[in-house]
Formats: sequence, structure tokens, C-alpha cells
Amino acid sequence: MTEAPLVVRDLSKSFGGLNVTRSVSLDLKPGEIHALIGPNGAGKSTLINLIAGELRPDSGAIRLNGVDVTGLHSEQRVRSGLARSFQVSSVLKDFTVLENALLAVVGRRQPALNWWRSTLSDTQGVEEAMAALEKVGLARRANAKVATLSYGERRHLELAMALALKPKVLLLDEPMAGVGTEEGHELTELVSNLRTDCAILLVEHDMDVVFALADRVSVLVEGRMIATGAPAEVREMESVQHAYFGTEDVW
Amino acid sequence: MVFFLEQLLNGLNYGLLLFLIAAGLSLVFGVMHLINLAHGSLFMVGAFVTVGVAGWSGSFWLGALVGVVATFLAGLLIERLIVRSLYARSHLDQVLATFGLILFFNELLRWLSGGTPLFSPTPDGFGGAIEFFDGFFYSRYRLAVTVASLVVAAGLWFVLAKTRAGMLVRASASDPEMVRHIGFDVRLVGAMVFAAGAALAGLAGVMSGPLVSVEVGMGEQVLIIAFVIVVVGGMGSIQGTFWASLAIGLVDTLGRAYTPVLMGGFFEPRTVASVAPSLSAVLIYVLMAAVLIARPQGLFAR
Amino acid sequence: MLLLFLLLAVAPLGLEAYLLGELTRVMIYGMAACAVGFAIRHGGLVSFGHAAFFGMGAYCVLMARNAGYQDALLVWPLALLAVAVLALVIGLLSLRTGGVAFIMITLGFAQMVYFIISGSQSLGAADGLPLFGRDTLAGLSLDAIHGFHYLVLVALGLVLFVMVCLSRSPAGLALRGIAHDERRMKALGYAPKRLQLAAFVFSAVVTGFAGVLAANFYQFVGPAYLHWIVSGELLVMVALGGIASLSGGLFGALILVLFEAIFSEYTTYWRIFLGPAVILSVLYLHKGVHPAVERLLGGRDD
Ligand SMILES: Nc1ncnc2c1ncn2[C@@H]1O[C@H](COP(=O)(O)OP(=O)(O)O)[C@@H](O)[C@H]1O
Ligand SMILES: [Mg+2]
Repeated sequence: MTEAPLVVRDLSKSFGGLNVTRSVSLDLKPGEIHALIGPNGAGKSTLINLIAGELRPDSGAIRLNGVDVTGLHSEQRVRSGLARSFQVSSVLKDFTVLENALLAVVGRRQPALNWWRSTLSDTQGVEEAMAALEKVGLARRANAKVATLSYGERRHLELAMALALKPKVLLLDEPMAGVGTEEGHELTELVSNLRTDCAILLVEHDMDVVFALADRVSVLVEGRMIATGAPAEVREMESVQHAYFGTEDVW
Repeated sequence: MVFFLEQLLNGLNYGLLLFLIAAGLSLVFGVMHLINLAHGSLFMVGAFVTVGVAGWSGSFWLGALVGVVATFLAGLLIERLIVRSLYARSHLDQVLATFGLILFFNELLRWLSGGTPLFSPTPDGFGGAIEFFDGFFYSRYRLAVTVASLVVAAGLWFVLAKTRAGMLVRASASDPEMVRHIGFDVRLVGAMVFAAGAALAGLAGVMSGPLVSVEVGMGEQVLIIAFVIVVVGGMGSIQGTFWASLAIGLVDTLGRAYTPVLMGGFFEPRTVASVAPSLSAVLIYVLMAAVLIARPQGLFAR
Repeated sequence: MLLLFLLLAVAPLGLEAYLLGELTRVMIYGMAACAVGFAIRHGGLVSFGHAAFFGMGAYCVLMARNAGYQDALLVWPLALLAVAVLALVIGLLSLRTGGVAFIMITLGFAQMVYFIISGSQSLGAADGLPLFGRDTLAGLSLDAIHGFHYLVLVALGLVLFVMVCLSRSPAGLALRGIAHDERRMKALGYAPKRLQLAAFVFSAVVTGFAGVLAANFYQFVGPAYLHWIVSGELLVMVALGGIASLSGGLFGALILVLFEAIFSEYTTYWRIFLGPAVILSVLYLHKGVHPAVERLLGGRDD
């Protein structure tokens, strides 16, 4: 049988003396939404950065669709089918919405990068970009400058850009952080629909969202993966309740 | 042998002077993330003020004192009026504004000095040479400058490593949030570092006066070399700056001394005479290229 | 923008040779400044070493002349090729680290080129050499300023056209993205260094072209072309004209030449005013003088 889209084995990383990631292993199955939870400072963003290739692990291995990518740069991993969103929204503010999406479309098609023809005359590219915007409901704002978007809209755009990369594996670092309930629901709905396109590793704080979306949940505490399983199972685990929630039941 | 020893001492002397200049540049960058092109101008101002005051009063020492104090005050003033607004700006803005300062200082001094190079007399009691051992003479003034630079470098190390003020400077570089938290004004730390760096550059200018011709443009010569030092040593690492300064000082001095000699073994004298000077002038840039290839983040970067 | 071009096109009809020459000069420096601005906008590369490319272009004309070649169709493409090779080497080394170090390293390597070329006897060493007449274009003489003015105008138009196309292309869009947020662009699958290197070489070649034209304009080639202050002045033009638009550098060059014309009426030390003016414009006119003027006139800035 073929290997899972994303396999992480014994990943470790320390900053100076601080062990932020300690021998973490993780599998992402095809079509699943895998939630990664853990208290602030547990090392979730660091793990995402390691998988995305922005940080180099001290030891361990990362495989994408059966290929070892541990030694690859982040841009090379993107071309092997990995996409990510950032915890702090990082769409390009001086560009239009469409240009942002186009950047993602063109990024995927690398390295045959055109130096001459106008980007906007590339009808196929524009179509693809518009399709991605359509998916997140931003098509009608395509020509607006990002600077004029609301925060929630920028989070939508962030997702659209990840989608335009047509990834096999999508890493979402708190995609709903900082948006209102209304938009939170929209985004939840959106992410849920992506399930058919790719496997998703989702860092999320809001337990309602985790419950609504996740097929499986992994719990990271102080850099260690202390549990993995179906949401209901994980919730019941004593070690999780102890380490993560104290004694209080926050569910 | 004697020639080699003399060149070695000269290289050390040059390297230590370079350190006084590069240290300020490196600290300002490390603490405030500011790139300051006008740093070389302060070196130039130090030299000019010393020559001017010494010529007017007849005392090198008064000139030296005024030179250092003037550059310190100039540093404070520049920080307050211009540099402070630049911390939060892009490096491009920093480069441009400090380039504006260079234009101003260069033109001001060209105007005041009439554009001709000035020569600073060696201070009383430091003229001539001393005999180390049989047949080895060395300039008394150069030796004094070397010792003085060493003392200042040691003092700088002591302040940075052992005193509360130094701790504050290092903390401001690595964790300004924390410094603010424990109730210190990071801006004040920045201003003091900037002014101290200016005074160090000024001091280097004061001491260099009798060794070189004091002219407009001398600041940028050393500024560019100081940049090479910072790149070679690693951005923001004061220890790296020190060793890189010595390395650059030695490579440059020994290179200039020995390139003609070495080339003489292979080429005709006429070729040597025409090629050697520019070849030795580029040695330090070749060193920078080599470092960039082998260790792009600099030799001493963490 | 179109208005300016129209003015430049009709200028030869009415102006006396000296003033026309000033306009030609504006276009030449404007071309170089646009190139410097291009690298900043596309790739975020603040180069303080473009004097090397400007000078290299100029010296190639001299070298060709020494070798007996004088036709633009042969000499100019070769000159641009030489500049491209130089830029490729410098770019590869300078891009090995990012951020501020890039500014320092490009400055360092430009200084290296300065020393090598200004130390060469056959190229006139520190004094430079006259060219005795401009290059010919397919046998046509360019010695009359009118013809040369139009040639430069066409060249400038062509360069700006190419820049617009590059800027709108996917690669150009990616480079603009890199200038804003390199990390973000990596996460979209772009390899920033490769694109930046291409942008750097392109920018250098255009600057070299301006150098070729400058050598022909002055009919003289000397180390002043390579001097680091040229790099600084090009950046000043970019800043004065505003980096927001591709043609900002052209307006910057115009402003600078006007500034010189006005203030050098009063004093030879006119740069003493330029320095503070640059500082003020950096501190208070974020986007440069030209956009500010357009805003005052109610135009839009792009
Ligand atoms: N580049 C870094 N250098 C040093 N420490 C870091 C760095 N990045 C993260 N950390 C530390 O690692 C820990 C985990 O951070 P992070 O991965 O952002 O946690 P989370 O996303 O789970 O909140 C924190 O204590 C943080 O201070
Ligand atoms: Mg996080």
C-alpha cells in the first residue's frame, strides 16, 4: 500500500538550550483533517515550520508522499505538494487580491517562470486564481487592494493562496485566529470542504472547531506528542486532561 | 626579519585602529539594527578637529581632547536629531539619510579646510623611534597608538562583559522588550551606544592624524573597510569584529609589503610596479569573498 | 511621465547645446537610477555598489577604443556582456547572506573594482583618459549633441518599456512579492535567490548601459565613474523620485540636476545643501519628492 501523504518521524529541534520539539512523530492520512492542539508555547508553530521546511530539524525525518524531503528547502517542498498558511496573516498588502492568488498559481508552475508576458494576460492562470478565490468567496473583491480588506477577508485570502498551490498536504496554523464568530463559522465550513482535495494538519485553539472538523487529534505538550486518536478518545485520556487542561473540564 | 617584524607591528596597529571604528558600527547595528554610513565621517571629524585645534593652540593633547569630546557630542546630536527617527525605518532610508550626512560633513570640511590635505604633527615626546633590540627601530608614536588602542579595546571589553551598563547594552541587543520591562529606557541605551561609538571613531581619527594625511574622503575609506570587517566577523558580534579587524589590518599591511616582493620572483620589475599596488589593495576584498563562500554569515556569527 | 518624454523629445528644437546636454545627462543618470530602483522594487535589493557597473560600462568603451573599435553595434553589446558577467559574480557572492550585509558587501566589491581599474596604467590610472569623439552607430557619427540626445532618449524609452514588461510578468510579480516578504514567497514555492540574482544582473546591465552612454556623453572615462559616491547619488535619485514608480529614478535625476544647477550658482560647495535636503526628504517625504509634487497637483501616484 502507498504511504500516507505526510509522515513525520522522531523530529527534534532545540533553540539554544530550549528543546521545543522532542522526538515528535505524526502521520497524516489521505483526506483527513488532523487537528494539532496544545497550550501556548507547546511548539505547534515550530512543528509546522519544521514540516514546511522553514526550520531545519536537529534530527528526525519528514516524508511527503513517500519521498524524503528532510533536506529540501521550503520552496522545493511546496513544489512537491505541500502548502501552508501562516499564524499571522501574511498576504502581500500592496497587491490586489487577484495578484496574491496569481502569485500562488504561478508559484506552483515554477520553475518555468515567464519573464516577459504580462501576468494578467495569462488567461489560464487568471482563471485558476479566480477559481481559488471563488472557493473562499473572495472573487468579487479580486481587484481590491489587500490593504482595504478586513482581517477576516485576509484570512480567507490566505486560504485561497494555499489552495491555489493545489497541495496534497495542507498545513494550517490557526487559520481562524482573531476573526469574529460569524467569519469563524464560514472558515470552518470552508476548511471542512477542503477535506476532499488534500490532507490537512490543522493547528487550532477553539475546541468547538476541532470537534466540528477533526477526524483525529494530536496533543502536543512541551514539545512532546502525548496523545493521538479520535477526538472523543483523546478527550477522555487522563494524561491529556492532566497535562493540557489541568483538572478542569474545558470541553 | 626586521622588515617582517615592523610590518607585523604596523598591521597590528592598523587593525586595532580599525577595530575602534568598526566596534561602534557593529554595536550600533547590534543594538539598534541601524546601518550608519556616517560613521566614517566621525572618524574624519575627529582627525580634522584635532589638527585644527592643535594648530591653533599649539598643543596636540588639547586637540586630541577636543577631538574626542567633539565627536562624542556630534554623535549625541546626530542621534537626537536624525538617527532616532531612523530606527523604525527601512535600511534604505537609513542608508540614504546617513549618506546625506556624509555629503554634508565632507562638503563642510572641504569648505573649511580649503580642500587641501592637512598634516598633523606628532605629539611632543612621541617623535622618532625606539630601539627594541639591536638594529630594530620602531616608531615611538605608532607604538603608543598600538598600546592606547589595545587599552581602549580592553576597556570596551571590560565595560561590555563585566559592568551593569554593558549588560544593559547586550540585553538591549538580544531582548529589548525585557530591558523595557525592568524599567530601563532602551532609547537612552541606544543614544549612549551611538555616542560612544562616535567617540571611538573620533578617537581613532585623532590617533590616525599624525599617521596619515588628514583629508576629506578619509572617512569613507575606513567606513568601507569597517563594513568588510563587519561582514567578515559576523554582523553584530563584537568579538568577531575584533578578530576580523586584526585579520584585515594584517592582511592589508602585509599584503602591501609583500605582494611586490613575492611577485618579483615571477614577473618583470615593470609589471610588478604597475600591478602590485592595486593587487594588494584588493586583497581584503578577496578575503571577504572567501569568507562569503565558506561561511556567509561571518566567521564569528552564532 | 508621457509629458516628460514629450518635453525631452522637443527639447533639441529649442534649447542651446549646453542646456540640451544637461537634459541628456539627466536621462543617462535617470536610466541608471531607474535600474537601481528596479532592483529595490523587484527583489528588495538595496545595492550600494552600482558604481561598479556604471564604471564598468564606461571603461569598456575606453578599452574598446584602445583596441581600435568604435562602433556602437559591436562595442556596446560586448560592454553589456562584460557588465553582466561582473554582476553575476558580485551578485552570487553578495546574495549569500541577506539583509543589511548586502548593502555592505556590494559596496565592498564595488570598491574592489575601483582599485583594480583605477590602478591600471593602460586605462589612465587615477587620471582617466579622453575618448576623442563618440562611438559611431553603424558608421553614423554621434558627435553632434542633437543626434546623441535622441539616441539616449530612444534608449531610455526602450529600457523603461522593458522594465514595465518585466515588472508585469509573473517573474516580476514574484520579485515584487519577494521585496515585500521573502518568507511568504518561499511558502508559495519561489526560490528567491535565483530570481533576485536575475533582477540584480538586469539592473546592473541597465546601469552599465547608462555608463556606456555617459562615457560617450562626456567623451572621457575616469575613476570618478567608479567612485562609491556614484552609488550613493543613484540611490538618492531613486529616493527623491520615489521608489513607488518605475520611472522614479528619472525624476530623481532631474531633481538632482536642477538642485545642482540652482545651488551651484551660489557656491561651489553646493553639496552642503544637498546633504540636509536628502535627510529631510527621507525623514519627511516618505515616497520621494516627485510623488509629493504630484499629490499637491492632485494627480495620482503610481
Ligand atoms: N526562533 C526561535 N528561537 C528561540 N525560541 C523559539 C523560536 N521559535 C519559537 N521559540 C520558542 O519555542 C516555544 C514554542 O513556540 P511555538 O512553536 O510558537 O509555540 P505554539 O505555536 O505552540 O504556541 C516557545 O517557548 C518559543 O519561545
Ligand atoms: Mg503558534
